[in-house]
Amino acid sequence: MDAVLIFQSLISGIMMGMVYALLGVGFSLTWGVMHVINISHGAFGLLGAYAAYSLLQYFGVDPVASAAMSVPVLFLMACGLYQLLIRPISRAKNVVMASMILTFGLAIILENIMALIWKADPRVLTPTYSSGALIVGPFYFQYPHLVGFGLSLVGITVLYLFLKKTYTGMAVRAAWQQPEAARLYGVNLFQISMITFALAVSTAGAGGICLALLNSFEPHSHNLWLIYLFLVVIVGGVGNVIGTALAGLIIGVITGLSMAFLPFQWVNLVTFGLLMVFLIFRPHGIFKQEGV
Amino acid sequence: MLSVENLTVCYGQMKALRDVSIEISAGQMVALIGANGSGKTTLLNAISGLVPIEEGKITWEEQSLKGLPPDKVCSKGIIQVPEGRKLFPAMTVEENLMMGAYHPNVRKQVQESLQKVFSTFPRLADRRRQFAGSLSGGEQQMVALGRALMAKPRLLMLDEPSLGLSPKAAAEIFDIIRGLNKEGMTILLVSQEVMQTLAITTYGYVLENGDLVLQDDCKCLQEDPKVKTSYLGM
Amino acid sequence: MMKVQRSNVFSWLVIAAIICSFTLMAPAVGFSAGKPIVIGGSLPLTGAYAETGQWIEKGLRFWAEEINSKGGLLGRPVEFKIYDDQSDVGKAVTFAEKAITVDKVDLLFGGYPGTAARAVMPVAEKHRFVYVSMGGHMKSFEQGYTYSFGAPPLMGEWWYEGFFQWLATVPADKRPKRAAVYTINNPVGLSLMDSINRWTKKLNIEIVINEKYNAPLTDATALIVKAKQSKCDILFANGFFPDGVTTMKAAKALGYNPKAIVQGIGSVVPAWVKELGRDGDYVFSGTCLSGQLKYPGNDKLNAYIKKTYNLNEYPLYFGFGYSWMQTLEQAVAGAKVLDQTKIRDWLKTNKVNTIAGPMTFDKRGLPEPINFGTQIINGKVELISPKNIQTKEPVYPKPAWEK
Repeated sequence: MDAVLIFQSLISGIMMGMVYALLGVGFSLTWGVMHVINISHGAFGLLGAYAAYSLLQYFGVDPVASAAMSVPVLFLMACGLYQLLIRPISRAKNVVMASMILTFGLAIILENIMALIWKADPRVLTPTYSSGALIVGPFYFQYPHLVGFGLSLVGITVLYLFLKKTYTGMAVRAAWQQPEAARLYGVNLFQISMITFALAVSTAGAGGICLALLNSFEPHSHNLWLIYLFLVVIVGGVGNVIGTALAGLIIGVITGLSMAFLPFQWVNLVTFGLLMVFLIFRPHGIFKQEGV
Repeated sequence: MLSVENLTVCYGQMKALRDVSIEISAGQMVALIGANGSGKTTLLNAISGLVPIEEGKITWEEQSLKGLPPDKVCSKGIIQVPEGRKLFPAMTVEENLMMGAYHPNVRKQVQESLQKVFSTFPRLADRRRQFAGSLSGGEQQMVALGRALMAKPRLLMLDEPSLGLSPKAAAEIFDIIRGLNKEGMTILLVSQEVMQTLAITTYGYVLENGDLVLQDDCKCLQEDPKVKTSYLGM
Repeated sequence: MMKVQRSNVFSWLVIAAIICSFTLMAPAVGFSAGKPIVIGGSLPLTGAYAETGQWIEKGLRFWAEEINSKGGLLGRPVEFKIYDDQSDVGKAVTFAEKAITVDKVDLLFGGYPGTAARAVMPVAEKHRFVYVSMGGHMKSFEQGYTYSFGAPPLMGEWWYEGFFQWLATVPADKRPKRAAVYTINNPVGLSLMDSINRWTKKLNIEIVINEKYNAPLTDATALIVKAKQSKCDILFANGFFPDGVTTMKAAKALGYNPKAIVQGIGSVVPAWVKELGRDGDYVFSGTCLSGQLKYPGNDKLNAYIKKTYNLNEYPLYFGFGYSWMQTLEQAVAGAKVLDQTKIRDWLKTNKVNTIAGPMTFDKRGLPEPINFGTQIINGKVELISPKNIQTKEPVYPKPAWEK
C-alpha cells in the first residue's frame, strides 16, 4: 500500500472526524446533562451553515468570522427556545422520550423555514480557499479541512475549558452528575439547563459551518448529520467532551484507513459497523468513567 | 431561628408527613430520630425546598420559606448534607468542595473556605485531585461535610452522616459534628444511630410513619421507655 | 313470491348497469362538457428531491395554463390534483392508488425520481392508466408494462452517448488512455456504466479504476489520490450533486488535472453552475432535453422562464414536466376520448412532437435513444454533440484548475 494514499486519507479522515466532534459535542451535553436528545441539533448546525452562506454571498464575510458570530446569536435564540419549549417538558415523566418527539417536530419546522428562506437547492459554501490546499512535500492539506479542523479544535477546547475552569461550567457538570445535591448548593437547574442548551446549540452552529466547508448541504441535510451526531456521541460517551473529541479522531482514523485499504463501497459499512460494536460492547463509550 | 408548624407533605396520594411541628433555636443541636421511612428525609427536603409543601408553615428568622426553590433556601444559609452524601462522583475532591461555595453569597471567600476545610480535614488536602467517586466511605462523608461547610451554613442539616461507615469513621464524624456545634453552629441531625445521636444533641424529635410522636430533652428521651424499646433495643 | 323478488333484483341490476354505462359514456358524449379534466398524481414537493419536484410542478402548471387558454383538452379545462409524496417512494405509490381509486382522476401525470416512477408503473398498469414519465433507467421499461411511456425518458444507459460520440471524433492520439470510474452505488448511478463499458472498449480506453461508493460520500480525498497516482487522464464521477461537489472540490484541492472530467447526474442540476462557479466548468455530461434545442416550443418556454424566474434557459425538470404533458395531450386529442386503453393505443401507433423532438414509441414505451452531449463552459451548459445541435465547440483537454 502506498504511503501517500494512506497518509492523505488519514489526514482528511481525522480532520473530518474533528468536525463531527464539534457538531456532536453539544448534542452529547444536552443528552448527558438534561436528558434531552435534541433531534433538531443538526438542524441548528444547518442554520449556521445557511447563515454563513448568506453572509459570504451578500457581505463577503468569511465563514470563520461567521462561525464566531453565529455563537452569540444562536446562544440567545436557544435561550428563548429553551424557555418556550424545552423547560415545559422537563417535568415530563420520560424527558428523553418527550424531548425526542418535541425536537423532532422542531427539526421539521426548522427544515421548512430553511427551505422557505434558502430554497430547496443544494448549496455549497465557497470562500476563496474552498478548494485549495497547503502543499507540504507530497502531501496536501486541503484548506477547508484545515479550517474546519482548526475551528473544531478551538471550539471543543473552549467548551472543555468552560466546563473545567469556570464556576458555571462546574455547575453544569454537577447538575448532570447529581442534580439534587447541585440544587442544595445553590444551582438553579433551569438556568443551568438553559445555558447548557444554548451552548450546545451555538456549538452546533459553528460545527455546521465547518461541515458546510467540506460538503454541500440542503434543507434536509440535518437528517444525515444526525447520524454522525449519534456516531460520535455513542463512541465518545454521552456527555463526555474529551470523549467526543477522541471519538471524532477514532472515527476519522477508521474512515481514513478504510478509505485507503478497502473498496470505497465498504467505507460506510465499516464506520457504522463501529457504531453497532460500541452499542453492543461499550454502550458507555470509550471511557469507563463518566465525566467531562 | 427555624420553626416548622403543622407541616404536611404528600407524595401523590401518600402522606409522607402529617402535621409536624419542630423548633430550632440558634446554636442548638437538635436530633431527629425515627425508623426508615418515618419521614425524616422528607422533612429535611421540605425545609430545603426540594419537595413541595401541602400544608403548614416553615419560617426562618420571621421569613416564610414556603415555595422557595432550593437555591434560594441555600442562599439563606440553610445547608443540607443529603443522605448517601450525593457527591459529584466524576469531579475531584477540590471541585466538590468548590461546588459547596457555588452560591454568589459565599463564592468570593472560596479560597479561604477551602483552606479552612483542608485544615479541618487534612486527609482531603492530600486527595484534592482525586475523583470523589474513588474515595472511601469515611472520606466521602468528610467531603460531603466539607462541601456543606464551604457554603458557610447557619443551619446545618445532616441526614444520616454515619450511614454505611465503619464504627471508627462514624465516631470520627460525630466528633467533628460535636465540634462544629461547640463553635456555635446550629445543627439538625438526622440519624438512626439513636444512642450516639442523643448523646451529643440537646433536644430530640421522634418521627413515626410521618407523625411526630415524641419530643423532649435528649436526656429524657434516652430514658423514655418507648425510645428504649423501639430504637435502643433495650 | 320468490319469483317476484328475483325479477325485482334483476331489474334493479339493469337500471344500475344503465346508470353505470351512462357515467362511463359521459365524457365521450360530452355529457359533462366544461367539467374539468382532473389529472392526478404525486411529486416530491418536499424532502430530498423537492427542488426538482417543484420545477416539474411548474412545468405541469405552465402546460395547463397554456392549454386552458386555448380552450382546454377535448373542450374541457384541465386541472391538477398534485399530492406531495415528500420524496418517499412508498408515498408516491399510495398517492397514485389514491388518485385512481379514491379521487377517480381522469389522467395520471408522471412522477419523480426514477425510483418513484418505476414503483408507480405497476400501479398504473394494474388500473390500466397511461403513465408518461421519465422512468429513470432502462429497468423501469423492461418490466413489460404496456401503459408506461418515457417522453423523453431519462436513461442512465444513454447518458454518455452524446459525450462518447463526440470523443470518437477526437483523434485517437489525443484521446484519454486511462479512466478512473467512481460510481454511486444505486441503480441510477450503476446504469451509467452501460455506455462507459461499451464505449471505452470501442475507443481503447483502459478502465484502470472502477469503484463504487455508497452515499453519503463525505470525503473524496482517497478517490482523487488514487486516480492521480494511477495517472488516469479521464475521470468519470458517476454521482449525484453532493458527492459530485465533494469529488470536484477534492480534485481541485489535490491538483488533479485529467484531460476530461465526466460527471453523471449532479452536474445537470442548475445549482451545479450556480454554487460551484468556475470550479464547475468544463465538466462533460449528457441530457435528453435542453432549452437550447431548436424543436418548436423551446423558445416559448425559455421566454416564459426568463420573464417569470429570470433564468436564461428553462430548468431541465421544468421541461420534463411540460414534455410529458405535451405527449399526454396529443394522445388524448388523438384518441378523442378519455379512454386509457385508446390513449395508449394511439401512443403506440402515432408520432408525438415534443420540445425534446419528435418521438415514436416501441413496445416498451421508449423512443429511439435520445441523448445530447453537454459541457459546462463559462458557467453555462452547452450542447456539444451531435454536431447538428452543437451550441459551442467543446473545451478539451480541460484547462488546469485556476488557483
